[in-house]
Amino acid sequence: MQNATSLELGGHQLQILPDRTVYWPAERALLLADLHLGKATHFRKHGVYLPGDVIQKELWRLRQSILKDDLDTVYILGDLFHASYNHEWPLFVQLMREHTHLRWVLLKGNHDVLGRGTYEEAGFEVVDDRLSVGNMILAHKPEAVATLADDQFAIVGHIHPGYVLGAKGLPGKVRMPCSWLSDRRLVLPAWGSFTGLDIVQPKAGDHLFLLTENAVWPHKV
Amino acid sequence: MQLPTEESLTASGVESAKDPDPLNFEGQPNTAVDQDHPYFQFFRRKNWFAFPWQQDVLAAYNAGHSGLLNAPTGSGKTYGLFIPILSDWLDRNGGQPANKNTGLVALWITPVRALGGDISRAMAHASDIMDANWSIALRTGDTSAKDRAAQKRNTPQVIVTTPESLHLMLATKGYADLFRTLEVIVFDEWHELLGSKRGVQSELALSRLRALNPKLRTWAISATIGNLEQGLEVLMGSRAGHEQVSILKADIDKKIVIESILPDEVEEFPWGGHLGTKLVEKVVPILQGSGSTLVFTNTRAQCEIWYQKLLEADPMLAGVIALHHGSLSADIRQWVEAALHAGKLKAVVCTSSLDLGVDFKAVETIVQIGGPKGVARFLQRAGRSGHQPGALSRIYFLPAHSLELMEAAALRTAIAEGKVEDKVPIVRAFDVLAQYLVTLGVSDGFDPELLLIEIRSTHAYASITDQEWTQVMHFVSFGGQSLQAYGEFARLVKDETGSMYRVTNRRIAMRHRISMGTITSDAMITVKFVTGGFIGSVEEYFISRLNPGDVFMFGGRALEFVRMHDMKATVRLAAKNKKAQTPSWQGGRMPLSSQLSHMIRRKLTLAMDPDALGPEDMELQVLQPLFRMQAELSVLPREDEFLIEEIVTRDGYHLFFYTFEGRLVNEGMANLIAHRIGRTRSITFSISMTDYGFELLSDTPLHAADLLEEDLLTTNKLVADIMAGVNVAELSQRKFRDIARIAGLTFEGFPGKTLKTRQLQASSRIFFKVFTEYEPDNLLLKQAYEEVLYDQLEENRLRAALNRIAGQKIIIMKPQRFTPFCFPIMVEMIRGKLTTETIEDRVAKMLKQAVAP
Repeated sequence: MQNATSLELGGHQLQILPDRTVYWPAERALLLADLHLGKATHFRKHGVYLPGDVIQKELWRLRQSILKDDLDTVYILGDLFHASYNHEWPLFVQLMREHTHLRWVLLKGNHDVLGRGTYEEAGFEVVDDRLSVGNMILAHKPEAVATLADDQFAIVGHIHPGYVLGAKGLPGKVRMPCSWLSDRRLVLPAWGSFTGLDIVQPKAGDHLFLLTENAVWPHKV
Repeated sequence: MQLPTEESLTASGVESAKDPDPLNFEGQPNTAVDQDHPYFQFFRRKNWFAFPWQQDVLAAYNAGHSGLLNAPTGSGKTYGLFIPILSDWLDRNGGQPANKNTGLVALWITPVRALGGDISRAMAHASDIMDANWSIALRTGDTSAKDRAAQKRNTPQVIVTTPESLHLMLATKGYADLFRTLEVIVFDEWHELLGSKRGVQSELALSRLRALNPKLRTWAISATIGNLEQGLEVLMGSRAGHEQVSILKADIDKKIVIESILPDEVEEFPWGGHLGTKLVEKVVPILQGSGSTLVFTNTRAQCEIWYQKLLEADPMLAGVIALHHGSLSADIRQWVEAALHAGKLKAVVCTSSLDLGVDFKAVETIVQIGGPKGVARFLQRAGRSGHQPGALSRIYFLPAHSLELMEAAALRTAIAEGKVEDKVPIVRAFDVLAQYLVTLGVSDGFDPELLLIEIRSTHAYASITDQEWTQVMHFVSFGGQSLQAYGEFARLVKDETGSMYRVTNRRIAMRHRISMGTITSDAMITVKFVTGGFIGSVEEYFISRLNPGDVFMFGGRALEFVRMHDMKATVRLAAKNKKAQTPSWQGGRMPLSSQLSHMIRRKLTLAMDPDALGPEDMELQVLQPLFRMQAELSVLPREDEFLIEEIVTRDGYHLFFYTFEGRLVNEGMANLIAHRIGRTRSITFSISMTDYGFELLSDTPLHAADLLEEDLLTTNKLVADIMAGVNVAELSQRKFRDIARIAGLTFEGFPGKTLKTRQLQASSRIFFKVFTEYEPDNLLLKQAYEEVLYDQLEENRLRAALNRIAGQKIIIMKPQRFTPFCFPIMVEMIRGKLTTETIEDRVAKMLKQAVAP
């Protein structure tokens, strides 16, 4: 069950998907942020043991996400690779090579510390700060879009938004990742499974798109 | 007859002024021991007599036995065992004092670092008196590098240390040379170590030392526990039955008087938690009429509250009352302890943080707030006063709600009948084993085939299979359990001989040394003033619920939360008029022990016949109005009856079950029953529990009589149903974090180097998720589930309780309103939930209500 939810942002129709990506039909583009590939190996290298197959499962998930007919561009809004080079990088590059018909764009995040050449060699267009697609600005950190012109809108990553849902009279709370729309800015959830959540404090008027395994739940605060 | 206590001996000269009184000499000298033995020289020089039990210890030790000495704290137990060790050695050495070639003779393991100083002083004093020239060294985490180096040059005859520091010694190159001459190892306060992972650490170290010297004698000193014999068996491991052992009892009667602090009028409804602080007025005169008083509370939150209440009730206490609990900084705690020692404090409100440790002579009175929940713990606390031999230990008991008064009567009988709880030894703790293997790898390495024999000789790992051993070896070498090699993560590697495993990476060795130990704490946030002063630490969970500007009570002060940054909470003193909340620390809440549970059920039956009650059951007399109301609205269940109450209110359909089995069993049973009810219907329950019973609340009509048809209380498929019913994953996640740290899978970072490790931070939630998904049969993951099942949910007790209920008559009552029994359960905050609805159903329901958390 793919239960997508449509959202209109700055005149663009976007689809929020439960697999933690956002699809932009008019641009035939897929947006995702904070993949943090390479993290498990990075931990192991520094003496924190983690089981090995995290990367295989992540690459499988990624293949599912980009398996779309109407897709030309993949925008990665930063923190693609968790830290310095390790053997997970060539595994990911292999996946890119299988999808050379796609245009891969990386908006560098604070974790993306591999040299620019490494990304370009893999086939990325690398953007350091922000990228304009019409009146839509793409960036990694929300700070990069702190100022927007009146007609501009933005999509960012970085903060790994999550939400804790509870209700009076109902026991227990549910904790889940979400997309968060606030002041013309849409913050994407972290796509990587080996990532934590930062529980956001939305203000009145904000929209949340809560994600459970198979569904998207729009929630206006 | 002067009893040689540790205190009297450290104050030299005082006791020798007293003449021994031959009329008070109890029993005859033990003829098994020659009266010219150096042992008796000590007593003659001190002008003391040896008690028969002390002579029995000497006889057993001289005969080369290992054994266990059952003695309470402050009973002369250090000397009871140390003098035999010293004199036996002198005897065998023709009375010659030690010289620089003597080497290490004895290891003395204490669970409390702070006790080491007193113990080693007493030992040095004994050595002086007997001209043995023994050097006594203290080795703890506080021992400086300089002192450690000195100890290496001039080997002491005794090292007084903790289990952790002993393992640190095993992580030092050439440790075998130090321990080869060792004759005896003593585990002081063994009851404190048994039943914990530190006990398992002790067993492991022991197995190594025995391999170095098969003639090593092993002794334990333990306060009374229900399973003393097993306590000794754990120490003996595979030697049990192959070696002569003795269990000796120091027959010192300590008189304990329990006095309940009674409300002027017992209400018919026991408002949970509210009665306690109303009785504060009655505590003040107790404090005023006594020397120093220790006021024990069961939780840190209660500790903070009582400190405030006592100050409000008697402002004169300002400056002479202090607060002591585990979240306060070590500086503050040490200051309080020193002031208590010096007799400068009138009262200290504390938690189990003062259960153990050095004796405070100034303490004359003990107050216990709330049910102590266990006989052993109560005895321990009572024993913190009345140190003079023959003195009375008086302990006041103040119930948190009036029903708890039953616990006082139950305790009195349990103590009279000698019913003390067991300390159940931990077995198969793979995390501790993994840490131990790396410890040996850091020093001189080990041959796995030979080491496995040693490890199987311990009680804890007697049952480890070859396959499990292989798995443990795998994860200490390359991390994973499967043979897939992760070159990035390697700790132990085979050396050039091809049989020895060692840690060759210096960084890994260093990291291991600083993170050794088995005591882990929840993620704690440091609390600091804006101006920089450190106050203590508090659970992350509590801080995460605060917003800037919120005020909370901590360390007896109202603090305003300013901000949270880098695992530090910055605070400032709050303005007077702000309302404060008290942190709810999650730990420290002990369940009612099965000994007390049983006794309470017995007392309840007695309570039905008030005319037959004796003075030892005066609390039951006082509670009569409450019992009468319970009987009127519902029934007062007898020992052979199991009461279920069914009540309908606006909130929904309430079912109350009264097991009197302790909080953990109640939690497990509540979830089990809820799960079993939910198997056939989509339903959500709120669950609350106390030590006495539990409640299931639902918005769906439920009738106990119909439900019982569904075989809810069977022990069939118990484990499977608990696993399915309780949110075991959530509970295991917390356990797993500690286990992973002990096993060395995760690492908290080098002290003061937090920034460098930032890219290595991930929450326990994520770790647990990744392991569950990618390595579900990981031994450490399984251990987490087992710890939850056996420690947290007390599966054995739950099973026993269900079996007992099966033999009881079940009584279902439908009272028109809440009964005195259900009140304390009602006012407990809802602690759990169980639902058979999917996440998606729940989210949908919650969004419909559209109430933000």
